[in-house]
Amino acid sequence: MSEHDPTTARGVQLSNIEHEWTLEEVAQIAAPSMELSDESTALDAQAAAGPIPGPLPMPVPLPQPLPLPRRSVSGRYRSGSTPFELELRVDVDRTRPTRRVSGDFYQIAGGTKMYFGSFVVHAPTLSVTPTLVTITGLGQYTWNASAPRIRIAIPRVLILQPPAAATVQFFTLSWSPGATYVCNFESPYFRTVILETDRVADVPTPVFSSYNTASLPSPGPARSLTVVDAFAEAGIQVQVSAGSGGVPADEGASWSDAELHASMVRHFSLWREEPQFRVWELVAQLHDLGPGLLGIMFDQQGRHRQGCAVFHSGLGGATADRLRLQLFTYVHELGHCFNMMHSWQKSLAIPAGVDRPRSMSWMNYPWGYPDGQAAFWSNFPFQFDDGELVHLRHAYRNNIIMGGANFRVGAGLQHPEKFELPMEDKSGLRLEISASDSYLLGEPVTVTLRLTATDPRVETVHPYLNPEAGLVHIAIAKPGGEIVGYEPMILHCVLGERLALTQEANSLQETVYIGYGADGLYFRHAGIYELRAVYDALDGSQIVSNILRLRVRNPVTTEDEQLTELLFGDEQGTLFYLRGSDSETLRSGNQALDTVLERYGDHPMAAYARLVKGVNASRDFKIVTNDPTPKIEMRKADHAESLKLLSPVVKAGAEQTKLDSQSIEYATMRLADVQRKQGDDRGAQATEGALKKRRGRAVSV
Amino acid sequence: MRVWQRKCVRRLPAILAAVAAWVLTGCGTMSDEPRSGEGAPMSSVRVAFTDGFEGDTVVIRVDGREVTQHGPITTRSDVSPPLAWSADIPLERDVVALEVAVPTKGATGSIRVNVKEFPQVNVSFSGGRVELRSSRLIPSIG
Repeated sequence: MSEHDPTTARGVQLSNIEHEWTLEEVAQIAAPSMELSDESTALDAQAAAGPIPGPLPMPVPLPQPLPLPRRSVSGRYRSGSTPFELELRVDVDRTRPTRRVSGDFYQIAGGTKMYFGSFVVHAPTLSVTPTLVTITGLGQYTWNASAPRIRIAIPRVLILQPPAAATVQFFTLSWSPGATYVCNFESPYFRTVILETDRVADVPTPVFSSYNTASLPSPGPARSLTVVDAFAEAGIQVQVSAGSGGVPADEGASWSDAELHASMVRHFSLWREEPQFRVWELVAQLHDLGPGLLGIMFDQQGRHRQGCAVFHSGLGGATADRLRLQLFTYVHELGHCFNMMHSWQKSLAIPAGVDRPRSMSWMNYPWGYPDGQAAFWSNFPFQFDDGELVHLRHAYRNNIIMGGANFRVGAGLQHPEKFELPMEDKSGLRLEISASDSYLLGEPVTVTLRLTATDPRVETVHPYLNPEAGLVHIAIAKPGGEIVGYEPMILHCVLGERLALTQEANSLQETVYIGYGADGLYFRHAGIYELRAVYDALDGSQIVSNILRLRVRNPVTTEDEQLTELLFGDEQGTLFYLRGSDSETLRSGNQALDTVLERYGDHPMAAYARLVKGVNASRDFKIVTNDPTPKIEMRKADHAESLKLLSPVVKAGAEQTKLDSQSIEYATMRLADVQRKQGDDRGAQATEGALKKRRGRAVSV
Repeated sequence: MRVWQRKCVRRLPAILAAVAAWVLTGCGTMSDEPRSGEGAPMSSVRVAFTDGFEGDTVVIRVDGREVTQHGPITTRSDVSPPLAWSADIPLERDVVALEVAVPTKGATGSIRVNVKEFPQVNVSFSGGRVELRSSRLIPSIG
């Protein structure tokens, strides 16, 4: 019976780390889907036949040359990179083979390289000949793959020859051939992670180095284990960062989780608020919870799982049991950073796994082991269990990469990978997204997008920063974790306009209202929202912005509460988006804005209503009516009303209203236009002059 | 050999005295008597506040003497076993009366513990009572 499923038969245990499994052994002991081919048997028989016997009654067989061993094929492979690069992981021989293959695709666009998606084949058919291994199976994909079958062919070369490339071919369900990739062997490790270990200055005991597993009773081979070795045995290469070093101490002070996180951001030299196979482990003396806490994966804000800490007040020392405990805790906490739950809490994962309280794993808890702590240690082989091994080697990239999975939970984006920072960025462009720190619930949310050329070789860009042109995309992570893509109400077909950049004018920016769009209101609840934008550059590069965090707060005063009710709604959202409308279908929205002006005209939020109503009043408005026959009715612009509404907005400016500076500029230009149309040229010039003074450059209306 | 024998005979009274003292003090087991003398090893007990705390202040007394006060503490269930706070309390003897008061809950609990046998005392609050249980050393891990 399997440890993970009571209905399955227990297979041959491949968990012995001492044994290097050959393809023939794996094929022989594995499921019926893995087989040695007849060709192999025939060739083996031929090889064993030896020379033809001579006439002598007692022929002496000629000595057969010792067969040279062949290379194992398991490990990591990588294809060329246009337009997709495939990272392939083959896991069918070597140590503890899990009999799986998996891979990650990266999309190369212009100067950027983005993660696209992952797949895994859980039960492939393995066909082995002396010269070739063929792995065939149906993959599971993070996207709806149209050619989900996969066949991988890897020539089996002699140990003295360089590793052979793997040819990967995809097929549809009906076996029509899809794409083919030739992947060169890259490493015997399935993944590579960079570890930075920093030590707080007040830790009096040495940072853990290694433990000899023969020091105390335990199963398995005696070996000197470091943290790096522990992961290497699982097929994960941990490279120690050159940035590892020290963190100053506040003598005698303990660490809170928040302080640990802040310290990570400051001291982890490789830290970025992005998914990356980089992890930080802090060796500290004492957590706020006291010496009873040995370690913690504290990074559960922002991008999760990028850092953990161990505490030497409960771990420090140089005795064998202390060194064993240090090794265990150091590896255990890093295991959490790889998104592995405690052995007895696997059911808390999403989707839920099966709890394995008896697991002999780094992720178990010796003091909670059903047979007691002593039984755990004496049976612990210093390794991850089989299920964890599958996760480490074959989990979808975002489910294991540090900073990955949490942002994914509940993801509703069609292409969430589009919003991850590129792994490589040679585009020479930078996109920034900014906004006010907080908004009252119901307040129109605007963001400012700024595109900057960071490389003088970038001479032209397209100027379409508004998502309406379809060339900028914005993802919104809601407080509950759901992620949606902002969809504008209206899509504009744009001409291929180009904007020349110079060293003096190397950036452009635009403020965009995103509170309402094709999916309705995007900021319906109070809480912290995270936003990120992507700009589709002319050369195909995907320029990904920083992550913007903004808070939508609940109303506190009665006045705020009533303003929220008046400004919050689909009709009001549509009016903000359109900057006003006479449409009958938006009548109640317009009435709500009128009420804001009547009752709360002095409130800073009233500027939104004034802007919308003032802009709408400044223009002629056409409506098609059907009464009694279709005809166009024109409502003429009401310049006096527009003047009355826009003047106080412009006068108050961004300092005294909640409006962003670009909206103020827009209101100012509208006001000048209205003044000119009313024959007040001096007034219009004064309005434009004020704006010119504010911006420090010429204004064209 | 003879030199060695003579030395042993000369030291016999001192050896007998040491053995007698060892027997009288309980054959090297626990003692209620305070340890004394320069360089005498200190014992300690780990007090681990586990379940039932939420913004509470706690006071630890050993043999009636307040040794520490700490707060506010709140139980964290994201570490196993759940932990609100812990402290290693140095002791001058191995058997002590440990009392924990939680003024914010108006409750107190106590236990007499032999720290050589049970180096940890787990303190929880449940049903309006502060409960203290001695145990082996059981750290928490997150």
